[in-house]
Parts: sequence; C-alpha cells; structure tokens
Amino acid sequence: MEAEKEAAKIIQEAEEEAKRIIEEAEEEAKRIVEEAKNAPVEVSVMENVEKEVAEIVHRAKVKAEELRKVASERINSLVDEVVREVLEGEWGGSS
Amino acid sequence: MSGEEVVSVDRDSEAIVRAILKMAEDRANAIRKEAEKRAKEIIESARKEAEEILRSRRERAEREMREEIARKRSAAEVEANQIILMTKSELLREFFRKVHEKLASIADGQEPGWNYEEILTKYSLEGAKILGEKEIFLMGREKDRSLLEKVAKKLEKEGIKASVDERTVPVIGGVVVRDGKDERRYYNTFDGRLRAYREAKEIEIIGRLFEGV
Repeated sequence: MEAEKEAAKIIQEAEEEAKRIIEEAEEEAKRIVEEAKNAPVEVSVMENVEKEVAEIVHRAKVKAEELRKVASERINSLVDEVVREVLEGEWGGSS
Repeated sequence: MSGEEVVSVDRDSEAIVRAILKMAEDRANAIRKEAEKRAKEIIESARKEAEEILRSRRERAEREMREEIARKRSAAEVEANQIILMTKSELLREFFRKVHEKLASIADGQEPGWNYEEILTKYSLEGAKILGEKEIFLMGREKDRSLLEKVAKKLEKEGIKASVDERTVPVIGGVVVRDGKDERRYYNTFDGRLRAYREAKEIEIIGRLFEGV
C-alpha cells in the first residue's frame, strides 16, 4: 500500500510538472505572438521620395521660368502681328 | 512459517515495491517527455504564427509605403502641372492685355503706321454694306465723335447717308453701324473683333508663344 501511494505521488508530481511545462510554453507562445504584433516593422524604401517630389516641383519651376523667358522674347512681335490680324482680318462684324 | 520462508516473502515484497515504483517512474518520465514534446510544438507553432504576423505586417507596411510614395508623386505632378498651367495662363493674359493696350493706343491715334480714321471708314462701309442700307447711323466712343463726323461725310461720297448717333458705346475702338429705325445693328468694334479672334485663334497663339519649351 505504501508503494502504491508513493507511485501515485510520483505520477501526480509528474503530471503537475507536465502541466507547468505546458502552461509555461503557452505563456511563452503568447509572448512570442504579442512581440510579433508589437515589434517595429522596418520597410526598406529604395526611393528617396521627398527628394524626388522636390525635384518634380523644381523642374516645373525651372520650366515656368523658361516659359516666361521665351514668351517675353516672342510677345512683342506677336502682339504686332495679332493686332494687325484683329484689325484687318475677317473677325469683325456681328449683326 | 520457517525462517527461510519469511526471508523469501520479504524479498518478493521488495521486488514488487521496486517494480511498482519503477513503473511509476517510467510513467512519470513518459508524462514529462510528452509534456516537453507538446511544449516544443506550442512554441514552434507560436514562432510560425509570429513569422506570419511579421511577414503580413511587413507586406502591409510596404504596400502602404508604396501607396504613400505614389500619392506624393502624384500630388507633386499635379502641383508641377499647376505651376506650368498658371504660368502659361498668366503669360497669355499678359499677351492679350498688351494686344488690348495696343488696340486702345491705335484708337487714340498714338501708333505710327495706323490710321484710325481709315479703320473707322472701312468698318463703317462694311457695316453699311452688310446692313444693305442707304441711310445709317454710326455709334462709337464719345471721343471719336468728330472722327465719326468725318467718316460720315466720306460715306456720303459713297452714296450712303450717314449720321453720328447721339448715343455712345463703351468700347476700345471701332464702330457700331445701325439702320435708321435701330432695328438692326452691325458691331464692328475692336472689342468684338478681338473677342472673335481670341475664340478662333487662342490655341494657335498658345502654341506660338510657348513652342519648343
């Protein structure tokens, strides 16, 4: 009877230890999953988008300046031509 | 029971006890082993789940980053287009402002190479022809009244009875020709001609102003 009690105690202790091992594993599993949920995610950005965006706008400003320069060179002669066309062309008259 | 028999029974009992304890130890070891195996599986499963979570979060972050980049690029392109369009629009306004200014200057007789009186005569004749009237009235700017009087006299030489209307019109220059009853009018003003010209030729003018840029 003593041996059976001792055997039962050994098994019970083993079962309790097993339960503790599983519970610890489950706790560790929860921690691993939570860590994955909250860990910072690094994304490698190949393009420097801010620089590219600034470059697009800068190019437009440069082009706008070029437009001003070219147009101001052409405006005066074109004004004379257009004034002549307006006054002498077939644009007038509505009744 | 003899002494030898007592010794034999004790030995059997000890053997049974040892066997019972051995079985218990074996069972305990099996329980621990099974628990450790299960624990490893739980951890392994959690690691896989964590990897999947990280992969999914990374993919999402990359997708959001790509979308953000596309949005920024698109906004920059819109801004760039607006800069160009606003510049073109401003230059086109400036161009037509200069045209307007020059027309006003011609109407004020301040442009060499242009004879405003001749222009008014030509426009008035055109108006008379279009209306098909032998008696017409000329309407223009207040400051053109004396010029229009001269034009009226010229038209009379062409067989057209022309008078200057008491009323004036707020225009840059040019003339409005009307019949005697003021039922029909022919607008031959600088303003109208410029408007018609602009409607017909603005795209061409834009092309010529900014060609090659």
